[in-house]
Amino acid sequence: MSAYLVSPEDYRKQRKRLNKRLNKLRHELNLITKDTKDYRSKEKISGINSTDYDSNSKYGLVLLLTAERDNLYALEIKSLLELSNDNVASYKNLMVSKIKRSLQTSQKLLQISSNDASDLKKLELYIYAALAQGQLSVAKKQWAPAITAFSIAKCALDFLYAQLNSKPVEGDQDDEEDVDAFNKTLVNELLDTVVDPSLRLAVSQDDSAGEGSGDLKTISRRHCHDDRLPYLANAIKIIEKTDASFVADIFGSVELIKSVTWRDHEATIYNDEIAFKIMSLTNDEETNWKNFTDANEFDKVITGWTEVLVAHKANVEKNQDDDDIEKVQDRAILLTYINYNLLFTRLKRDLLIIDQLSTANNIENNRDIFRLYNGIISIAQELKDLPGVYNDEDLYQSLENLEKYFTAKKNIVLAESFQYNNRFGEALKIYSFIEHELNTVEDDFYKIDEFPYQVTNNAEFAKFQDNLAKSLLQSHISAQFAFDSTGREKLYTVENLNKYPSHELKDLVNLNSKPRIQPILSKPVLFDVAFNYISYDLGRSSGGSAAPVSSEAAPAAVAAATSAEQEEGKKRGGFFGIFGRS
Amino acid sequence: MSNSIAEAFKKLNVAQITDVSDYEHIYSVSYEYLSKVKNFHDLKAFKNCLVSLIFLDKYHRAFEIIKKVPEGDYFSNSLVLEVGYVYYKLGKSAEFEQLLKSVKVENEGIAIGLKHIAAQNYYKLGDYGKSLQLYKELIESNKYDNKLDLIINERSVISQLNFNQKNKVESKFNIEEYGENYDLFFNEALIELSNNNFHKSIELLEKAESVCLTQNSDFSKEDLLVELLPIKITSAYIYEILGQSDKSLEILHESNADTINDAMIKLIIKNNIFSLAKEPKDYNLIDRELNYQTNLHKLSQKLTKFQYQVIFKNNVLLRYATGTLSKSQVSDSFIAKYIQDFPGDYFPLAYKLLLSLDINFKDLNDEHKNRIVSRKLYKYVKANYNDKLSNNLIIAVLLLVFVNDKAGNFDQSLTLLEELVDFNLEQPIVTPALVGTLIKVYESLNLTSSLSKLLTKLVTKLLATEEKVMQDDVNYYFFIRIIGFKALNQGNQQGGIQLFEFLSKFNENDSLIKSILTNTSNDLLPVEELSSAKSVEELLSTNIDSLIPTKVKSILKPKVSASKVSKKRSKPKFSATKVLKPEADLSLDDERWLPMKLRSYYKPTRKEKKKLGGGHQGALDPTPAPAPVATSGASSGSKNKKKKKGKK
Repeated sequence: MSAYLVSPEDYRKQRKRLNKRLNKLRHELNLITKDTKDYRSKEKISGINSTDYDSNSKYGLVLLLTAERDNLYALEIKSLLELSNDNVASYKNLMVSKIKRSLQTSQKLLQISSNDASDLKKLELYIYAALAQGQLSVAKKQWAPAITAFSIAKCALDFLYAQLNSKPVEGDQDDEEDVDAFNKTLVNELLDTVVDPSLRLAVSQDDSAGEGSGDLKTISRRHCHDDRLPYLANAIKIIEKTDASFVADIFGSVELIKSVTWRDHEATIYNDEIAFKIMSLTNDEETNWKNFTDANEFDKVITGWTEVLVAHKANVEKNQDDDDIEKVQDRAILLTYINYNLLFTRLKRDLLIIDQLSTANNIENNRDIFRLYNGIISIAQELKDLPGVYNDEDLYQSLENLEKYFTAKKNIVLAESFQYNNRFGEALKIYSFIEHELNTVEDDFYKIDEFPYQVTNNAEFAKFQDNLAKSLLQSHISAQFAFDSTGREKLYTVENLNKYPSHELKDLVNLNSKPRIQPILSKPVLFDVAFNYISYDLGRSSGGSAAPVSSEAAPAAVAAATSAEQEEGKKRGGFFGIFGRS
Repeated sequence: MSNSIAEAFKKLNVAQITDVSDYEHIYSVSYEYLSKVKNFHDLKAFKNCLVSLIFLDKYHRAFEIIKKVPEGDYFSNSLVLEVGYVYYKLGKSAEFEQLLKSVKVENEGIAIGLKHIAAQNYYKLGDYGKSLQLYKELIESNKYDNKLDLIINERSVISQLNFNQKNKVESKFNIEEYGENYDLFFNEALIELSNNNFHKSIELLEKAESVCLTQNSDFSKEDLLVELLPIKITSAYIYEILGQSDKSLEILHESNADTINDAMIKLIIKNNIFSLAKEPKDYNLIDRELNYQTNLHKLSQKLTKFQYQVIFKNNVLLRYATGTLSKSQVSDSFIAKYIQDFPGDYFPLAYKLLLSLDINFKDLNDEHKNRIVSRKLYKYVKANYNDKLSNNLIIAVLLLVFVNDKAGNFDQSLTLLEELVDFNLEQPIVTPALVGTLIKVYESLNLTSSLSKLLTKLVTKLLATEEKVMQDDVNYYFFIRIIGFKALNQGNQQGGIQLFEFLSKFNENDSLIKSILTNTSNDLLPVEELSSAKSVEELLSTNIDSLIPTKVKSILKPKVSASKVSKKRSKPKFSATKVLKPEADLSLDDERWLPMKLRSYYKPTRKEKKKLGGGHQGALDPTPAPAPVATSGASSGSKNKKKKKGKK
């Protein structure tokens, strides 16, 4: 509308252009009154009625352009006023009257177009009228109607924008897309340059509204229902027909929470929208997460929290230069609160996915589970990095343990995978490492009572430790088992058919590309005791008598044996070489 | 003359011996007397000869004399000890057995001496059970011997016995009671090694080494080495088993056996260094360096049964790898004897098969020849498929699996293996290696459903195993235990537990089964010993993808045509790789639709020119030229005229 017009000359040129077009149009519709004497009684424009409009919508265009011409004129004067201060009062009067004129024309347009089939078109006209009305009210410093008018305009524009967004793209017509894009920009431009500033001004000026706080959206939703401008009420009805949420005064109907509490910090919420969203995310109705079993349902919650986060960030940005330290503080707490919840929601979702994956009991899922746990661990780290967490000793420690817990779980997945590959030694090492890591923990693993979304708690951890002990035992047994069956030497399968093969298939026979030369083991020490019994002595061999060796030779031999014989035996071993050791 | 010999013989004083030459003197005098005077009929001379020769280590000479002396002369009396010892030393166990049977010894000392010889003989033969029995008796009725020696010998036998079977045999005698004796420690270390208690074994070896060093500080360097090296070699061996090959190699390189005169230790050190080499050298070179053939012959009387087995295996392997293995080395009769000695070890059969199928070592490891090799094996299996119990067939199938594993595709062998196992399951005893191989193939192909089916079948089959089999065959016990574990891991909880309960009837002391059935870890080795030697950080940073199997896609082999005649194929005109002209060069002739002669660039040939304008070049014959013009003009003129006429 006034998008790229800046100086009064711009407006003037645009007005001239518009006039030319209007003139042509009137010629076309035969609305010319050549005889200008007593023009008022003869002019045809005011005679346009709804039947004319129904037959040809160009009649409506005439009125619209007429209204726009007056509007442009008003804007021209307005920008002129900004430059000079000559004849301020009279110019102001002129401006107001022009605006008024524009409003009257658009009211007339509304009247005659009431039979139009297209709701959207009608809505656009209502917006136009509302804007004119708003401008007029502001110019006249009538704040209450201004609020109402701009509220209606805002609701309608929001609605329009949503409609444009949800409009399905038909085919690949670029033109249509361009038009849509243009319309979207237009709507945004209107909201940003006209509606929002004016509404804010009106609200700030109007004492009776008594808002003080709250965002424009909330205000517009509430005030669009005011009965001050009955001719615009139809716009609200049109919107309600399609989507009541754009005009529903939601925040008026429910008791909003005024503050949130996060770890003993209370933060007042200054934004009703955020308050409402937080409420709906944390309420106990059936949309509550406790009823969720599928991980995908959590996506909604995550989106919810993300929206809150975005809204809050935008809010913070808007109020960047707020000097009120308390408010700044509150916003910071709220930010942490939102982030905290958002991160835990993501964590919970990942946990649910892991649950689903692990029930499938397929080793290939371990890959994804492992990755998810990595994600969870980084979430836990992010949680620790949230502002305000570090100073909260209990929470910080709990989060640290949370990270430990999930790291342990991740490592268990790794250990299981090792086990699957029959690498029990490695698995056992990991299990015992995990146990060692977690054993150092004090009585209460988590200092705080509970985490959001019941991600885990002390009871679960105790159970986990029990299971860990069991797994450790199992792994221990498996390792021992693998160890036992591996045995002393590397035996190839064909080397003992009576034995279960202890190695891989490539060790079926020792004939790989690099066959192994098997190591030889030393033999044990065996003394050649029999040799001691050999001597020239015939007394023994002469036989007959009981035990010659024992009676004669033996005592000497045995006596010597304690020290000497042993040596002798060994020397023999070395010298004669057959027995003894080696 | 005979008198002088007799004189000299009588003068012999056997009690006063100062050095080796005395033995030689006694021998020569006694032998002269025995052979020339008494004609081999004198006990005392005979005995003198034998004892001297034994002291001189000349057993072959002694054996020759024994053969000359009539049997009755020594069987009836105490010379039996010396004769027996000579037999034992020469490895003539048949003669020794004969001797043992035919004599009745009344003298207690001789009986004990004979028992010693018998025990040592059984030990040498590898009949450790009998040997142990004798040593137990000897220890119980000990009168003359140093008890410590007997206990050391007993342990020596036990360690060998344990290597063979896994029923832990334990000595009744506690090592602590006998003080610091490194031989005892050494043998005990071997026993621990045989029971797979590597860490304990290493501890004992370290103890043995330090005791040896302190006790023998006055020894010469060489003597000390002779005592020390076996201990070091053994610890290097254990480190190798534990996967610490660097440490093992270091010890072996430190052990310098150059100065000592012990071929056995030298061989072991050399062999084990080669065994540890990461990049094996040329096998020809190794073969030459180790020279097994000669060593086997030279050391045959010194090797224990298991040392012999290992050296023999290495020898055959090197021969095969260098292409010098002959069929006679793995003849049927030899294999039959070998399998009798080492039950279950069919490795020579594998070599025999490879030789007879003309598959050499190079081909076996050449991936391009993989298909040829596997086809040879496959043909052999198919041809011998009727006798499903023959070991030849089993080995051939296992070799086929081995070859298929290299190609990563078990299409050829899997069905054969499955059928063989099915057949095997109907026999009273299952062949563990065969079943195990199938399980491994299933595991490597990730065929879990087939695996669990097989395991269920196995559980029922094994639960019905006869008691006698269980008691006789330790390996079968372990086989069942493994299957129990597999079943447990596959989720067949019930089957696994059933098997374990079945096993616990036969061995109540199995710590593993105990811990499974009671859920405790008290009986197991400590965690530290069992867990991997890698650092935790290294393990935790393992990429999980490397641990998870990717679905095996069966690789389709290109079809090989049966006929050997290969057809010459013409090259396709339009191939995917056809080089196209660039677009710019493809300009088409704009006048291509016009008749040739009307194109702007048309140049008529001389012949055509003649026809048209005719004449040779430069000929200016005016007459013919106008003629056609005239005629054409005339004809056209006539036509025109006709037309005009028509118009009129």
